[in-house]
Amino acid sequence: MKILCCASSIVSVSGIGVGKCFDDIADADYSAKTLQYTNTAVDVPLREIPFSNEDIIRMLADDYNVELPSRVYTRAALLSMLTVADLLESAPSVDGKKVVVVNATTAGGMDKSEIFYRDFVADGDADIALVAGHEPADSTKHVCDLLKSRGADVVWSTTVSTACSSSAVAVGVGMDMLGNGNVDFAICMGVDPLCKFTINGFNSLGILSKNVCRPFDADRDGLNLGEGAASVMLTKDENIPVLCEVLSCETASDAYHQTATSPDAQGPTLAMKAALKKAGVDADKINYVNAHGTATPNNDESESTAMVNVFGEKVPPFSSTKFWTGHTLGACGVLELALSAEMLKRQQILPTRNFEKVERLTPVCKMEKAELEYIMTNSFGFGGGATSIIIKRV
Amino acid sequence: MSCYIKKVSTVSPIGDLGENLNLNTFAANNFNAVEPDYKEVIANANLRRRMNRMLKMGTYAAMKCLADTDVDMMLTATSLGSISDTEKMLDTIYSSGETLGNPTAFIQSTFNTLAGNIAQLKSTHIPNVTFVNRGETVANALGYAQVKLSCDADNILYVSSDEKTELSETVLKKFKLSANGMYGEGSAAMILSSEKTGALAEIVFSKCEIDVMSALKELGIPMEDVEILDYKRWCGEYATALAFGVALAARMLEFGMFEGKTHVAIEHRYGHEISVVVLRKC
Repeated sequence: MKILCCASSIVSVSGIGVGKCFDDIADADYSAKTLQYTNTAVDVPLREIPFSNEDIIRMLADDYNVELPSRVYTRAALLSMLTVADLLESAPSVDGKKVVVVNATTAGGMDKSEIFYRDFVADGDADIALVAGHEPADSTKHVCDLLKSRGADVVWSTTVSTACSSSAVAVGVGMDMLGNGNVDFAICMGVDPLCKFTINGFNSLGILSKNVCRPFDADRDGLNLGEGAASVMLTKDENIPVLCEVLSCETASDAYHQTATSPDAQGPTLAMKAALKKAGVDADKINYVNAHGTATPNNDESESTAMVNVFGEKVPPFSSTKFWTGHTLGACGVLELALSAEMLKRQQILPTRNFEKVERLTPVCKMEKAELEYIMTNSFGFGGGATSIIIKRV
Repeated sequence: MSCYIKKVSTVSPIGDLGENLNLNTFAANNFNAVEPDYKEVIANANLRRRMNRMLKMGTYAAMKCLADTDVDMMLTATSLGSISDTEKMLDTIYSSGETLGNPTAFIQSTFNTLAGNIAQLKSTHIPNVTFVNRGETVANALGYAQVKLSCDADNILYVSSDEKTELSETVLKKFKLSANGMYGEGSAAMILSSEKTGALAEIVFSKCEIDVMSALKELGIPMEDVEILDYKRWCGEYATALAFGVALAARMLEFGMFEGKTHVAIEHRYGHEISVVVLRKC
């Protein structure tokens, strides 16, 4: 039985659309942008989605026919609905279909919870509506409601959170539920809005760059946080147009440290090897690796080690697209899966731009035409979770 | 899809169900968990000191279950995660005007920290998934365990944990999530297996958006064969309370406490959410 990806959507610093994000990575001016909507005193570059919450509510109504009742919505809920509404534009109809939804996030509705907390501490009370969407499940419920309004029979839905590998893990859970049940489609997705909590948390760890990040560069000095929401639709139906086949999605635990990957990269190595084994693909068949490539000294060093562990001296062409999207945390796994599927379609490798000085491995630094049959995409996270996905051209 | 419960451990308002069934002990402690001496399973004093109660409770129950068992997957579940550390982190952000951080509080606020801790303590590279789906998260994780045991896992560690804080209890009360206004907390861990030998009970049903009567109808089990367990009088209300109910039911089945009944149904209503797990006697 094949698991196929039949639709994808990205909401990112580029706005809405996989193609828009793809084209920007290839060509856009990647210098830091002035923030419009994110309220923080921390002075670092952030890759913000260029819409206010009010914009998103209006777009959902005007462009996607999703009318929302007047109430408090977290940014995660709005972005989740936006990516799924966009996904459905190019997806097969879900009307009357059995659908599984697996959403993923790290911050959930924290953007509103932190306002509640501020007011509660200051005044001894606060608007309870602000924390109604605190939990990660809130966004998922809104997505399920949207799908039900389009006639879908949502037979199973959940939310997972494994830090920065969250949505990659969501793909694995979705594949399992689709492959082993009476299910037509699995929608696997991830979302993370920018908020004070996340920005200050990463800042306290000292891993945010003051400049546009430089994945795999010898002088890299940290990551840029980004805002993102992304979704893919998986199916077993071989009779509908598809973007790619998803061969495997495997996870391993590094079991080393809560925020750092081990120097010998055990977790990432095991995840990549397990994904190859499950896919039934030899390492030398992989034409390109979409690296996690956060641009922290630790991640990129460890990921380089993992790639050498897995591929030996013949590390395939690889790159990280986070210099443009930023690190979208719980969204990055699916966001980069969608970009990887687009690379298969266009037979082009997206570059890591802003790379200058070689440390160990050199990523692809400019747009390249290539014969792409198999792509591996990696996501690693706090808590030691490492997930690798392998997709195949169809 | 065979999914057997081999072992349970809890940190709960009535203690560790894996050790004793103190069913005469009604929670006189406002449904606060009775916390064990964590030194037994978390030897590192610095680690113990850094860990919040959600992490300690979950780690304790998990490590007790793993004491003599190897597993090939770990599923963790929580609603609010390390909410005490989330509050600490927010406190630091606002009290410092975003000039200071609290790395430990931030790291521990990450929902999968419990899984990461257990992996480190056991030095295991097995895959893990953390479910964070509010009141449905336990039924989600157990339903997923059923699927994984049918395809590529033989033994799975399940563990859920939620702690309450003064603020979280205040907020939950405002949402009126508990029928009797009593909010609990705790952790529950189970070894789930595809193999029946030595099992306490079998999980035959774990679904959301269904009530217990509809679940039994779907399963085709006559009502007279089923005990419906009223478990929240022992654990209070919290999003992952269902796992306590499942662990309790498994132990009660082990001790033959439901005479004439072949199945136990455990229903969890949490706000608008509803989920049901049904166990069969082994």
